[in-house]
Amino acid sequence: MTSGDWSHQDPPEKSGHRRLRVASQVSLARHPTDGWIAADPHPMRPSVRRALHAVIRAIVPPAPAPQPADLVERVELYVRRFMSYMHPLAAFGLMLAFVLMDWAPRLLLRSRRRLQGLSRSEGARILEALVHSRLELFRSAVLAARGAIMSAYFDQQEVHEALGYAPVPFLRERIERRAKLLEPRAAPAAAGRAS
Amino acid sequence: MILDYTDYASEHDFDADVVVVGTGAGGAVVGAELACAGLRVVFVEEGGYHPTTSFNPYTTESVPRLYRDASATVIFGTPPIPYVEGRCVGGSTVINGGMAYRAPERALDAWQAQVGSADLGPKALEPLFERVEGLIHAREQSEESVGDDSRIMLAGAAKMGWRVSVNRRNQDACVGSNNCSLGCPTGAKQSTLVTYVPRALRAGADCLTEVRVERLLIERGRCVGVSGRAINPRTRKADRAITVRARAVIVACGAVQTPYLLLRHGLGKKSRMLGKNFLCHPNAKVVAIYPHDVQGWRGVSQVAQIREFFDDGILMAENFVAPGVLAAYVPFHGEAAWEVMQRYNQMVVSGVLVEDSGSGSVSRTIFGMPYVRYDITPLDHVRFLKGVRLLATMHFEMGAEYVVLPFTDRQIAHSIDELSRILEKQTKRDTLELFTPHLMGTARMGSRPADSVVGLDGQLWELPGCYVADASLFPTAIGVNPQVTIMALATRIAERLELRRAAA
Repeated sequence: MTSGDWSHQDPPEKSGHRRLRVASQVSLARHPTDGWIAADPHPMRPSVRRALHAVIRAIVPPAPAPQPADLVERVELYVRRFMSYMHPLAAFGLMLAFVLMDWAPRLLLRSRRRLQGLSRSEGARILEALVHSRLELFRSAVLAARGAIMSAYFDQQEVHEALGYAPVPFLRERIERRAKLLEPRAAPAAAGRAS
Repeated sequence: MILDYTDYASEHDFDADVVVVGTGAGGAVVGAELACAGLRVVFVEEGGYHPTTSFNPYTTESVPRLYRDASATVIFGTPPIPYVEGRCVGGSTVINGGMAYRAPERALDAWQAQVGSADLGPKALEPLFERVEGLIHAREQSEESVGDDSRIMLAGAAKMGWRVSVNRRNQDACVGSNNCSLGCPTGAKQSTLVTYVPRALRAGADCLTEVRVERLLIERGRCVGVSGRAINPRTRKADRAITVRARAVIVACGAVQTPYLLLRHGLGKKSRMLGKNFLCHPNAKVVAIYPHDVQGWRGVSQVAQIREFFDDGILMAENFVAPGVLAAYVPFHGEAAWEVMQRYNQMVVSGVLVEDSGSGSVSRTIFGMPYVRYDITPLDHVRFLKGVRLLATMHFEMGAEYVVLPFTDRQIAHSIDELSRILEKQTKRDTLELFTPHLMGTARMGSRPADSVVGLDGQLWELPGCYVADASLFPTAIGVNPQVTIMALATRIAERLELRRAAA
């Protein structure tokens, strides 16, 4: 086996990707600058979308947690995009979970209305009851939907700000710090190339 | 050259000396070693190519592009256990915490005894570990990169009189950006994305990204390549056929996808071990909320592990993650979730890892996806309760206001007394909330076809020309982070393959 010169970096330009743009600087943009194409949101019938909206309203934290005007639509977009990357059966299961949760108030005889007809707090209470249901199907449905929705909500800029979480300036500072650490290594290498 | 979906409109048949399926800790290592030895190597990777400059701290963008199935993967059993795997160039090394532990000597002694060969013993693996550790810069963190959450864990362990092991991590000038699980944006983490894969490409290898391998090509009883389909990035439909013919095929898709692919061809009948012996080091999270700011996101994730109970199969460590990741595991929604999550800056996220005492299985289903089955043993349940008790007690001793526990029915303890009452009621395994990133053991290596899937050279007993090089090879769980051990075994497989070629 050869040992050779194992440098530690992304693939060099010469043998790099044909089309994807490999930026020389980290952008830390929410949608990366590497030419990556995000999948279209998973197709969803209007009735399932209404169920999903009801589930989102019941799951995301109410005020004083941040409530951007387009919150439900934003979370919906991310959840549906997540679904596009799942195995089709898992995505189908998640859609069923949204429908099941929408019907849960009637199935559990807690209300004559579906989730979409209930207030946010009433809906949240019913979903909490489902989490502790003896039926694993109910439990799993709520846990899967909750995971996806909570993940999307807590990734929003307004929520980060409310939590006091500011990763971008912090990462920029760390990237600069590492570049400074590597400067002593870069100088002799550059001198070597010049000579 | 790295190719993607758009390239396959014109090119869809490839030839190589070796085709490697997967670019993680196993595949990238075998591919790089063989490419450097002069072989023509083609990698086939299901995920995309995402360079260091593209990484960011956003869960909603990073998880779909870096994780298999956007992390919606689960092991069925009691309890169900979500698991994660990387699906991108670099595989799970891009999203792991960067822990660079060798398999402990007791595990390697057990391997040696089990397979009846010194090949898997500590002495034989020593030079391989050394080579790998040199190439991925396995070393301890600098003091400046350590965050306050790690300091609390270290102080807590000291207060309890517990032994700790400072982690060696695959890092080069790590500055503690704590974005390991969403891709390291500084390039410090020495994943295969920035080590082995570039090396292989410089040596002339090609990497076909966004291609899902679906079949092995088998002719006259020998594996001669793979076929699959490229995935349209916008629609996620696999709609362009790809074929790679080669003299040797390396399957390195991880302990779930590797047996899933091989089982398609009815392999593993002799030993009946293919897909069996599934091991996963299940983890339970214990989140402690302190009365003061910790800001765990400032500083490296997991600088050390608590090893006091390692001989009982229990590891404990800090493991801080972004709010979008943590929120998916906090067992609340609505107001209750906000009440906990608004204290994000005062949290220490820690976990208990248990070394499996049982095993599960991976099988094929008619739905085109693997079925992974694993039940926690009663012994492991007891270990989890012990680990949670110890870890939560340590947090209370360090002044935590309350801890969020990994149980579906009782989630919060405000004192050690309340913790004891909650733990006394935990009699059922299905109320545990677990998680795992370590999948192992489903195509075990051995010296006899009767009780193993592959030989000590990594080649399938039943299919010449087809090799496995990932954590599927592990005969038993190792109790620590597996990437360095995977890399060492992959180096061995590359060496043997190269020797075989030279002899031929």
